[in-house]
Amino acid sequence: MTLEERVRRLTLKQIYQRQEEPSALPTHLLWQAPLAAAAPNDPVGVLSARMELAGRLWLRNLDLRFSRRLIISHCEEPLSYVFQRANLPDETNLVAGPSRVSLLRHGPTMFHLPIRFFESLETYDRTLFASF
Amino acid sequence: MSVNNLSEFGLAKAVLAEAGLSRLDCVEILWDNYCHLDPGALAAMVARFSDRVSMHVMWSQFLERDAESWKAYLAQLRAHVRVLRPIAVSDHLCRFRSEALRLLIPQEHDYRALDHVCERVSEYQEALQQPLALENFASTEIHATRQIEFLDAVSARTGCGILFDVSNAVVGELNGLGPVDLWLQWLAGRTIQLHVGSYAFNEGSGLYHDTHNSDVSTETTRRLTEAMQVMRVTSVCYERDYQKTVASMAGDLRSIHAAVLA
Repeated sequence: MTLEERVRRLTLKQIYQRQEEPSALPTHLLWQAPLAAAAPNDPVGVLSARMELAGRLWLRNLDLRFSRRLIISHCEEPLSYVFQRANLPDETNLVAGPSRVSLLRHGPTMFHLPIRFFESLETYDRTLFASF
Repeated sequence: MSVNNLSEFGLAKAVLAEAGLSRLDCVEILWDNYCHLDPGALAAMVARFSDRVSMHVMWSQFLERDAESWKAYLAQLRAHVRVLRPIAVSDHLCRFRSEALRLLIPQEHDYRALDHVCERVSEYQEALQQPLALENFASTEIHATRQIEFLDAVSARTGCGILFDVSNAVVGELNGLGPVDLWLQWLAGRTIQLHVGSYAFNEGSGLYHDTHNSDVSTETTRRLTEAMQVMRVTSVCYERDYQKTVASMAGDLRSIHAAVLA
Protein backbone atom coordinates (compact mmCIF):
# COMPACT_ATOMS: atom_id res chain seq x y z
CA MET A 1 0.00 0.00 0.00
CA THR A 2 1.40 3.41 -0.93
CA LEU A 3 1.67 6.25 1.56
CA GLU A 4 -1.11 8.12 -0.22
CA GLU A 5 -3.38 5.08 0.02
CA ARG A 6 -2.66 4.94 3.76
CA VAL A 7 -3.53 8.61 4.14
CA ARG A 8 -6.71 8.15 2.10
CA ARG A 9 -7.75 5.27 4.35
CA LEU A 10 -6.99 7.29 7.51
CA THR A 11 -8.84 10.31 6.12
CA LEU A 12 -11.89 8.25 5.19
CA LYS A 13 -12.03 6.73 8.65
CA GLN A 14 -11.36 9.86 10.69
CA ILE A 15 -13.23 12.64 8.92
CA TYR A 16 -15.52 11.03 6.35
CA GLN A 17 -16.41 8.32 8.88
CA ARG A 18 -16.57 5.69 6.14
CA GLN A 19 -14.60 2.55 5.37
CA GLU A 20 -14.94 3.10 1.62
CA GLU A 21 -15.11 6.26 -0.45
CA PRO A 22 -18.71 7.23 -1.24
CA SER A 23 -19.50 6.81 -4.92
CA ALA A 24 -20.29 10.48 -5.55
CA LEU A 25 -18.96 13.07 -3.13
CA PRO A 26 -20.27 16.61 -3.62
CA THR A 27 -17.78 19.48 -3.82
CA HIS A 28 -16.92 20.32 -0.23
CA LEU A 29 -14.42 21.91 2.09
CA LEU A 30 -12.40 19.75 4.46
CA TRP A 31 -14.49 20.71 7.51
CA GLN A 32 -17.61 19.62 5.64
CA ALA A 33 -16.24 16.11 4.97
CA PRO A 34 -18.27 14.36 7.73
CA LEU A 35 -21.48 15.78 6.26
CA ALA A 36 -20.50 15.35 2.61
CA ALA A 37 -20.18 11.63 3.33
CA ALA A 38 -23.40 11.35 5.37
CA ALA A 39 -26.25 9.27 3.99
CA PRO A 40 -29.68 10.92 3.61
CA ASN A 41 -31.27 8.21 5.72
CA ASP A 42 -28.74 8.40 8.58
CA PRO A 43 -30.54 8.57 11.96
CA VAL A 44 -30.60 11.94 13.72
CA GLY A 45 -28.10 10.67 16.30
CA VAL A 46 -25.60 9.82 13.55
CA LEU A 47 -26.14 13.17 11.86
CA SER A 48 -25.66 14.92 15.19
CA ALA A 49 -22.29 13.25 15.66
CA ARG A 50 -21.30 14.24 12.12
CA MET A 51 -22.40 17.83 12.75
CA GLU A 52 -20.20 17.99 15.83
CA LEU A 53 -17.19 16.49 14.05
CA ALA A 54 -17.64 18.97 11.19
CA GLY A 55 -17.67 21.85 13.66
CA ARG A 56 -14.57 20.62 15.43
CA LEU A 57 -12.81 20.36 12.05
CA TRP A 58 -13.94 23.92 11.29
CA LEU A 59 -12.26 25.01 14.55
CA ARG A 60 -8.99 23.38 13.40
CA ASN A 61 -9.38 25.59 10.34
CA LEU A 62 -7.56 23.49 7.77
CA ASP A 63 -9.58 25.37 5.14
CA LEU A 64 -8.30 28.77 6.35
CA ARG A 65 -11.78 30.18 6.85
CA PHE A 66 -11.75 33.78 8.07
CA SER A 67 -15.07 33.53 9.91
CA ARG A 68 -15.15 33.42 13.72
CA ARG A 69 -18.39 31.66 14.48
CA LEU A 70 -20.16 28.68 12.93
CA ILE A 71 -23.69 27.48 13.58
CA ILE A 72 -24.85 24.09 12.31
CA SER A 73 -28.51 23.31 12.74
CA HIS A 74 -30.90 20.51 11.79
CA CYS A 75 -33.87 21.67 9.67
CA GLU A 76 -36.45 19.22 10.95
CA GLU A 77 -35.35 18.50 14.51
CA PRO A 78 -34.52 20.85 17.41
CA LEU A 79 -30.78 20.23 17.17
CA SER A 80 -27.98 22.80 16.87
CA TYR A 81 -24.30 23.34 17.53
CA VAL A 82 -22.34 26.58 17.87
CA PHE A 83 -18.57 26.82 17.44
CA GLN A 84 -16.49 29.91 18.08
CA ARG A 85 -12.78 30.53 17.59
CA ALA A 86 -10.47 31.92 20.26
CA ASN A 87 -9.80 35.63 19.80
CA LEU A 88 -7.29 36.44 22.53
CA PRO A 89 -4.07 34.80 23.76
CA ASP A 90 -4.65 31.85 26.07
CA GLU A 91 -8.34 31.63 25.16
CA THR A 92 -9.68 28.30 23.98
CA ASN A 93 -12.12 27.63 21.18
CA LEU A 94 -15.73 27.24 22.30
CA VAL A 95 -18.23 24.50 21.48
CA ALA A 96 -21.90 24.52 22.49
CA GLY A 97 -24.20 21.62 21.73
CA PRO A 98 -25.95 19.49 21.03
CA SER A 99 -28.68 21.95 22.01
CA ARG A 100 -32.37 21.14 21.60
CA VAL A 101 -33.09 24.34 19.70
CA SER A 102 -33.42 25.29 16.03
CA LEU A 103 -31.05 28.19 15.47
CA LEU A 104 -31.29 28.41 11.67
CA ARG A 105 -34.75 28.51 10.14
CA HIS A 106 -33.80 29.89 6.73
CA GLY A 107 -31.11 29.44 4.14
CA PRO A 108 -29.89 26.71 1.84
CA THR A 109 -29.37 23.19 3.07
CA MET A 110 -26.04 21.35 2.97
CA PHE A 111 -25.68 18.86 0.18
CA HIS A 112 -28.56 16.40 0.27
CA LEU A 113 -29.11 16.70 4.04
CA PRO A 114 -31.70 18.43 6.27
CA ILE A 115 -28.90 20.56 7.72
CA ARG A 116 -28.07 24.25 7.45
CA PHE A 117 -24.95 26.15 8.46
CA PHE A 118 -24.05 29.80 8.91
CA GLU A 119 -20.58 31.33 9.26
CA SER A 120 -20.14 34.79 10.70
CA LEU A 121 -17.40 37.28 11.50
CA GLU A 122 -19.36 38.23 14.63
CA THR A 123 -18.84 36.45 17.94
CA TYR A 124 -21.05 35.76 20.92
CA ASP A 125 -20.01 36.91 24.35
CA ARG A 126 -18.16 33.91 25.77
CA THR A 127 -20.36 33.80 28.87
CA LEU A 128 -23.38 33.21 26.61
CA PHE A 129 -22.09 29.77 25.69
CA ALA A 130 -23.12 28.36 29.06
CA SER A 131 -26.74 29.14 28.23
CA PHE A 132 -26.92 27.18 24.97
CA MET B 1 10.51 30.20 17.89
CA SER B 2 7.01 29.70 16.52
CA VAL B 3 3.76 30.46 18.30
CA ASN B 4 1.23 28.18 16.72
CA ASN B 5 -2.08 29.00 18.34
CA LEU B 6 -3.82 31.31 20.75
CA SER B 7 -4.15 28.80 23.57
CA GLU B 8 -0.38 28.51 23.91
CA PHE B 9 0.89 32.03 24.43
CA GLY B 10 1.27 31.36 28.15
CA LEU B 11 3.24 28.18 27.46
CA ALA B 12 5.52 29.98 25.02
CA LYS B 13 6.24 32.67 27.61
CA ALA B 14 7.04 30.00 30.23
CA VAL B 15 9.42 28.22 27.83
CA LEU B 16 11.30 31.43 27.13
CA ALA B 17 11.65 32.14 30.84
CA GLU B 18 12.90 28.58 31.50
CA ALA B 19 15.44 28.95 28.67
CA GLY B 20 16.63 32.26 30.14
CA LEU B 21 15.22 34.34 27.29
CA SER B 22 12.95 37.32 27.64
CA ARG B 23 12.48 38.50 24.07
CA LEU B 24 13.28 36.92 20.74
CA ASP B 25 15.02 38.32 17.69
CA CYS B 26 12.10 37.10 15.64
CA VAL B 27 8.89 35.16 16.22
CA GLU B 28 7.10 33.15 13.56
CA ILE B 29 3.34 32.70 13.63
CA LEU B 30 1.50 29.90 11.90
CA TRP B 31 -0.94 32.22 10.16
CA ASP B 32 -3.51 29.47 9.72
CA ASN B 33 -4.39 29.88 13.40
CA TYR B 34 -4.66 33.66 13.31
CA CYS B 35 -6.14 34.44 9.91
CA HIS B 36 -9.56 35.18 11.44
CA LEU B 37 -8.23 37.96 13.70
CA ASP B 38 -8.07 41.66 13.21
CA PRO B 39 -4.48 42.24 12.02
CA GLY B 40 -3.94 45.16 14.41
CA ALA B 41 -4.93 43.03 17.39
CA LEU B 42 -2.71 40.23 16.13
CA ALA B 43 0.27 42.59 15.80
CA ALA B 44 -0.21 43.65 19.44
CA MET B 45 -0.28 40.01 20.55
CA VAL B 46 2.89 39.11 18.68
CA ALA B 47 4.69 42.17 20.07
CA ARG B 48 4.75 40.37 23.43
CA PHE B 49 7.51 38.17 22.03
CA SER B 50 9.48 40.14 19.48
CA ASP B 51 9.68 43.26 17.37
CA ARG B 52 10.09 41.13 14.23
CA VAL B 53 7.59 38.63 12.93
CA SER B 54 7.54 36.15 10.09
CA MET B 55 4.37 34.51 8.80
CA HIS B 56 4.19 30.81 7.98
CA VAL B 57 1.25 29.20 6.19
CA MET B 58 0.55 25.47 6.09
CA TRP B 59 -2.94 24.90 4.70
CA SER B 60 -3.26 27.65 2.09
CA GLN B 61 -3.71 24.95 -0.56
CA PHE B 62 -2.57 27.66 -2.92
CA LEU B 63 -1.92 25.34 -5.83
CA GLU B 64 -5.38 23.81 -5.65
CA ARG B 65 -7.71 26.75 -4.96
CA ASP B 66 -10.20 27.84 -7.58
CA ALA B 67 -9.90 31.40 -8.86
CA GLU B 68 -12.49 32.87 -6.50
CA SER B 69 -11.14 31.41 -3.26
CA TRP B 70 -7.56 32.15 -4.35
CA LYS B 71 -8.48 35.80 -4.76
CA ALA B 72 -10.20 35.89 -1.34
CA TYR B 73 -7.23 34.19 0.30
CA LEU B 74 -4.75 36.68 -1.12
CA ALA B 75 -6.92 39.64 -0.08
CA GLN B 76 -7.06 38.47 3.54
CA LEU B 77 -3.38 37.65 3.68
CA ARG B 78 -2.47 40.98 2.09
CA ALA B 79 -4.51 42.84 4.73
CA HIS B 80 -2.51 41.13 7.47
CA VAL B 81 0.83 41.63 5.75
CA ARG B 82 0.22 45.36 5.42
CA VAL B 83 -0.23 45.68 9.19
CA LEU B 84 2.19 43.06 10.49
CA ARG B 85 4.97 43.91 8.02
CA PRO B 86 6.60 40.48 8.33
CA ILE B 87 10.26 39.97 7.52
CA ALA B 88 9.18 36.89 5.55
CA VAL B 89 6.13 34.93 4.44
CA SER B 90 6.49 31.23 3.74
CA ASP B 91 4.36 28.39 2.42
CA HIS B 92 4.65 24.81 1.13
CA LEU B 93 4.37 22.90 -2.10
CA CYS B 94 1.96 20.13 -1.14
CA ARG B 95 -1.06 18.19 -2.31
CA PHE B 96 -4.13 18.43 -0.11
CA ARG B 97 -6.54 16.40 -2.23
CA SER B 98 -6.68 12.93 -3.66
CA GLU B 99 -9.38 12.73 -6.33
CA ALA B 100 -12.62 13.81 -4.56
CA LEU B 101 -11.19 13.46 -1.04
CA ARG B 102 -9.80 16.27 1.09
CA LEU B 103 -6.79 14.74 2.81
CA LEU B 104 -6.19 15.03 6.51
CA ILE B 105 -2.41 14.97 6.04
CA PRO B 106 -0.74 17.01 3.26
CA GLN B 107 1.13 14.89 0.71
CA GLU B 108 4.38 15.63 -1.03
CA HIS B 109 4.06 17.51 -4.31
CA ASP B 110 4.86 15.48 -7.41
CA TYR B 111 7.21 18.20 -8.67
CA ARG B 112 5.46 18.50 -12.00
CA ALA B 113 3.30 21.27 -13.52
CA LEU B 114 6.12 23.81 -13.21
CA ASP B 115 4.20 26.46 -15.16
CA HIS B 116 1.19 26.32 -12.85
CA VAL B 117 3.36 26.44 -9.72
CA CYS B 118 5.32 29.43 -11.05
CA GLU B 119 2.13 31.25 -12.02
CA ARG B 120 0.63 30.85 -8.54
CA VAL B 121 3.90 31.78 -6.80
CA SER B 122 4.13 34.93 -8.94
CA GLU B 123 0.54 35.89 -8.07
CA TYR B 124 1.29 35.22 -4.41
CA GLN B 125 4.31 37.52 -4.49
CA GLU B 126 2.47 40.21 -6.39
CA ALA B 127 -0.21 40.25 -3.69
CA LEU B 128 2.34 40.27 -0.87
CA GLN B 129 4.58 42.84 -2.55
CA GLN B 130 7.50 40.81 -1.23
CA PRO B 131 9.10 37.45 -2.01
CA LEU B 132 7.46 34.24 -0.86
CA ALA B 133 9.68 31.55 0.66
CA LEU B 134 8.89 27.89 -0.11
CA GLU B 135 9.75 25.28 2.50
CA ASN B 136 11.41 21.99 1.62
CA PHE B 137 9.27 18.92 2.28
CA ALA B 138 10.24 16.06 4.61
CA SER B 139 10.42 13.60 1.75
CA THR B 140 8.75 10.23 1.83
CA GLU B 141 8.20 9.42 -1.83
CA ILE B 142 10.48 8.52 -4.70
CA HIS B 143 9.69 11.62 -6.76
CA ALA B 144 11.35 13.58 -3.92
CA THR B 145 14.58 13.10 -5.80
CA ARG B 146 13.30 15.90 -8.09
CA GLN B 147 12.63 18.30 -5.19
CA ILE B 148 15.81 20.37 -5.33
CA GLU B 149 15.77 20.60 -9.13
CA PHE B 150 12.11 21.69 -9.07
CA LEU B 151 12.56 24.28 -6.30
CA ASP B 152 15.60 25.62 -8.12
CA ALA B 153 13.53 26.09 -11.28
CA VAL B 154 10.67 27.80 -9.40
CA SER B 155 13.12 30.05 -7.59
CA ALA B 156 14.91 30.97 -10.82
CA ARG B 157 11.69 31.82 -12.68
CA THR B 158 9.82 33.66 -9.89
CA GLY B 159 12.56 35.01 -7.63
CA CYS B 160 10.96 33.27 -4.64
CA GLY B 161 13.08 32.34 -1.65
CA ILE B 162 13.58 29.04 0.16
CA LEU B 163 12.78 28.31 3.77
CA PHE B 164 15.16 25.49 4.64
CA ASP B 165 13.80 23.11 7.26
CA VAL B 166 16.88 21.32 8.55
CA SER B 167 15.03 18.45 10.19
CA ASN B 168 12.93 17.92 7.04
CA ALA B 169 16.13 17.46 5.07
CA VAL B 170 17.35 14.96 7.67
CA VAL B 171 14.05 13.05 7.25
CA GLY B 172 14.62 12.89 3.50
CA GLU B 173 18.10 11.49 4.04
CA LEU B 174 16.89 8.92 6.60
CA ASN B 175 14.27 7.79 4.06
CA GLY B 176 16.96 7.34 1.42
CA LEU B 177 15.62 10.18 -0.74
CA GLY B 178 18.62 12.46 -0.96
CA PRO B 179 21.50 13.43 1.31
CA VAL B 180 21.42 16.62 3.38
CA ASP B 181 24.72 17.52 1.74
CA LEU B 182 22.89 18.17 -1.54
CA TRP B 183 20.72 20.78 0.19
CA LEU B 184 23.75 22.40 1.82
CA GLN B 185 25.56 22.59 -1.50
CA TRP B 186 22.54 24.03 -3.31
CA LEU B 187 21.78 26.64 -0.66
CA ALA B 188 25.37 27.65 0.15
CA GLY B 189 25.76 31.42 0.06
CA ARG B 190 22.01 32.12 0.00
CA THR B 191 20.26 34.48 2.41
CA ILE B 192 17.78 32.18 4.08
CA GLN B 193 15.49 31.39 7.01
CA LEU B 194 15.79 28.06 8.80
CA HIS B 195 13.30 25.80 10.55
CA VAL B 196 14.26 23.20 13.13
CA GLY B 197 11.78 20.59 14.36
CA SER B 198 11.61 16.89 15.06
CA TYR B 199 10.65 13.66 13.38
CA ALA B 200 9.73 10.07 14.20
CA PHE B 201 9.80 6.65 12.59
CA ASN B 202 6.41 5.16 11.76
CA GLU B 203 6.34 1.36 11.73
CA GLY B 204 3.19 1.28 9.61
CA SER B 205 4.70 3.18 6.70
CA GLY B 206 8.29 2.11 7.38
CA LEU B 207 9.34 5.73 6.96
CA TYR B 208 10.44 8.70 9.00
CA HIS B 209 7.94 11.57 9.12
CA ASP B 210 8.04 15.22 10.14
CA THR B 211 6.15 15.13 13.45
CA HIS B 212 7.20 18.04 15.71
CA ASN B 213 6.42 15.79 18.66
CA SER B 214 9.79 15.08 20.27
CA ASP B 215 13.12 16.65 21.14
CA VAL B 216 15.31 17.97 18.34
CA SER B 217 17.73 15.22 17.29
CA THR B 218 21.51 15.46 17.54
CA GLU B 219 21.70 14.89 13.76
CA THR B 220 19.48 17.92 13.24
CA THR B 221 21.58 20.16 15.49
CA ARG B 222 24.75 18.90 13.75
CA ARG B 223 23.28 19.78 10.35
CA LEU B 224 22.05 23.11 11.73
CA THR B 225 25.61 24.04 12.58
CA GLU B 226 26.72 23.13 9.05
CA ALA B 227 23.91 25.19 7.54
CA MET B 228 24.90 28.18 9.67
CA GLN B 229 28.44 27.89 8.32
CA VAL B 230 27.55 27.91 4.62
CA MET B 231 24.37 30.04 4.40
CA ARG B 232 23.53 33.64 5.30
CA VAL B 233 20.91 32.81 7.90
CA THR B 234 18.43 35.53 8.86
CA SER B 235 16.48 33.54 11.47
CA VAL B 236 16.21 30.09 13.00
CA CYS B 237 12.72 29.04 14.01
CA TYR B 238 12.04 26.21 16.45
CA GLU B 239 8.83 24.30 15.78
CA ARG B 240 7.08 22.07 18.31
CA ASP B 241 3.43 21.07 18.02
CA TYR B 242 2.92 18.03 20.25
CA GLN B 243 4.18 16.55 23.54
CA LYS B 244 4.93 20.05 24.69
CA THR B 245 6.45 20.58 28.10
CA VAL B 246 8.29 23.62 29.36
CA ALA B 247 11.36 21.55 30.27
CA SER B 248 11.71 19.74 26.92
CA MET B 249 11.07 22.83 24.84
CA ALA B 250 13.49 24.93 26.87
CA GLY B 251 16.06 22.14 26.46
CA ASP B 252 15.54 22.22 22.70
CA LEU B 253 15.99 26.00 22.62
CA ARG B 254 19.28 25.67 24.50
CA SER B 255 20.62 22.95 22.18
CA ILE B 256 19.58 24.96 19.10
CA HIS B 257 21.27 28.03 20.53
CA ALA B 258 24.46 26.04 21.12
CA ALA B 259 24.36 24.63 17.57
CA VAL B 260 23.92 28.10 16.09
CA LEU B 261 26.93 29.43 18.01
CA ALA B 262 29.16 26.37 17.43
